[in-house]
Amino acid sequence: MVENVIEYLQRCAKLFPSKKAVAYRDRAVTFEELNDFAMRFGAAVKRALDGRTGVPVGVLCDRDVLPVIAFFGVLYSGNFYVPLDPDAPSEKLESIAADCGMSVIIGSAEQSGVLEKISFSGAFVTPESLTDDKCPYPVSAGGESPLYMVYTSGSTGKPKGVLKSHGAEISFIEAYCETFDFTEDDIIGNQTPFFFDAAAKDIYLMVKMGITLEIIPSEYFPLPPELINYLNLKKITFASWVPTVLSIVSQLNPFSVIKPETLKKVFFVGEVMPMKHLNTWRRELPHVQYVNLYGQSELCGVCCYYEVKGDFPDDATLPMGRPLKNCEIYIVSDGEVVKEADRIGEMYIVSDALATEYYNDPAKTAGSFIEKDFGRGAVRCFKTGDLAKYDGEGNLVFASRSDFQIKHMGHRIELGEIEAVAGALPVISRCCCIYDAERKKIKLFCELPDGCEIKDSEIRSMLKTKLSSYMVPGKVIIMDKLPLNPNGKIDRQKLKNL
Amino acid sequence: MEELLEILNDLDPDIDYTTEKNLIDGKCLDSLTILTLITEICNTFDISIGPKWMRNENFNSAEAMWNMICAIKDEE
Repeated sequence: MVENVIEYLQRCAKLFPSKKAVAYRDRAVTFEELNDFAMRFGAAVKRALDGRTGVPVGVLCDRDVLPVIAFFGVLYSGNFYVPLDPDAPSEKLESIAADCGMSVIIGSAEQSGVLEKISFSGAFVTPESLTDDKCPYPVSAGGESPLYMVYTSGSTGKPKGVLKSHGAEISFIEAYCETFDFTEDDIIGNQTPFFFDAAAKDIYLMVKMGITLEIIPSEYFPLPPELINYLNLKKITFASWVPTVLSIVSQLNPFSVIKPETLKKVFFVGEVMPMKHLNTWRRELPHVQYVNLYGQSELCGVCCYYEVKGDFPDDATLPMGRPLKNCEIYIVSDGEVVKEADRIGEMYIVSDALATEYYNDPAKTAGSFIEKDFGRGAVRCFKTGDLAKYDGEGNLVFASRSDFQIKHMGHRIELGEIEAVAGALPVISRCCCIYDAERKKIKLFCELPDGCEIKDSEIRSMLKTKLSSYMVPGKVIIMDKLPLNPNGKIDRQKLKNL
Repeated sequence: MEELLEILNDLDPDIDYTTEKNLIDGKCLDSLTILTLITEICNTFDISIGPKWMRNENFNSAEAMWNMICAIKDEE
């Protein structure tokens, strides 16, 4: 039984030494080179940490092969990686580095400016700092060892770190590969940047199966004919993308001019896939397998899947489907485990793939990762905050969130985080953030302090320096007074209808 | 051209569209913005932008977009 994901990489290096592992534009490394570089990065990280293990190491993630090598390098050193967006606002990077006590960051020499901006005083490991020293397999790193930590949106305005273990990732990737018919001849077309959690699926699928991972340059995504041309050029067979990207392709319908020739599987994850757009894909590419995935940042990979078969009207909602083999899902309503169709309740996940904790936050961890008895004794589970029900065929169907969390372009966002950041600006006295799901737009309504004169565009510019780009409201609306409901709270419904 | 610049400024007022020549390749405009842009251009100029026009070179600058709009109008 595999205990550490490095074993997957070592197996690939042995079985497919000269096969392309990961590629970006004309840069590529084979599995043997990936393993070799990772061991050398491991040695460099170990030197930088004076041999300490079990600590977080940041990796600046541009679209490139380097982050993937660096991830495995950190693992060889016996530590865990924290993927970082080099374009994130300095305050956010500083907050992450401080929150986890990061003392080493890996990146390219060209990224050293990022560290200067955040006044990082730790060690910066670059490919240039590698020697011929190699780090051996970390014997102490069993399944419980931390693998990586991602920072997700937090309602208090401060991102929270979710820590995941080797064992959790292995539980997911084994179940994922058992469920879907991947082969070593597949080629993954990566869309998700490596600083997002969803990218881990692509990376561990690569090393589990010995599949090539092609990172698609971001400039190919806005215009579908360019994107499809690239998919054909790289012979991509598998795409696990956010629905927004797939919907844009179908909305601009390029299929009369060019079609993906090698694509066999299209999975979508991160938000609801509009059926209308999926139907366009299915009409144009009927031979492709389409699968709806559902997951949470608090577990590795995903927990539910639904393979789309049969006809669906354009206004139908796709079910989340059934649990993967490594997961059990329970819907609970009024303290009872729901078994019947159409009764809505909160969803709980039981799985070996669950995250270990919210880093350094035992109170929040205890509130979300709880012991609960679903009829067979108490088990550790994750309280998702998502409301769901069963349909008549026993499929799970998403109902809504029980709080103000949204999915926008595949990213999980707490509207409260945007409100907290915006509310802290001296030019805003009170604000409320609303998501217009139809237009896929985040709107910020705000009141200004007396005598303050500022334009909406200036507020947006300020927010750009403090929030990740996908969280910056598309529209800022300045109001004399925000509407209140009878309880004296901001009337979100009224704002939604404006 | 004025109308096109108005559409672009409304999408992202922080970009100087009179000088920027790398809107797509330089990652200034993302997929969702391009989708809105194409819809707005089609509605405003009463044209249809077919797949053959959807190339990065036609969207990398306001000038390139304007040339594309004129070429589509001529063709239609």
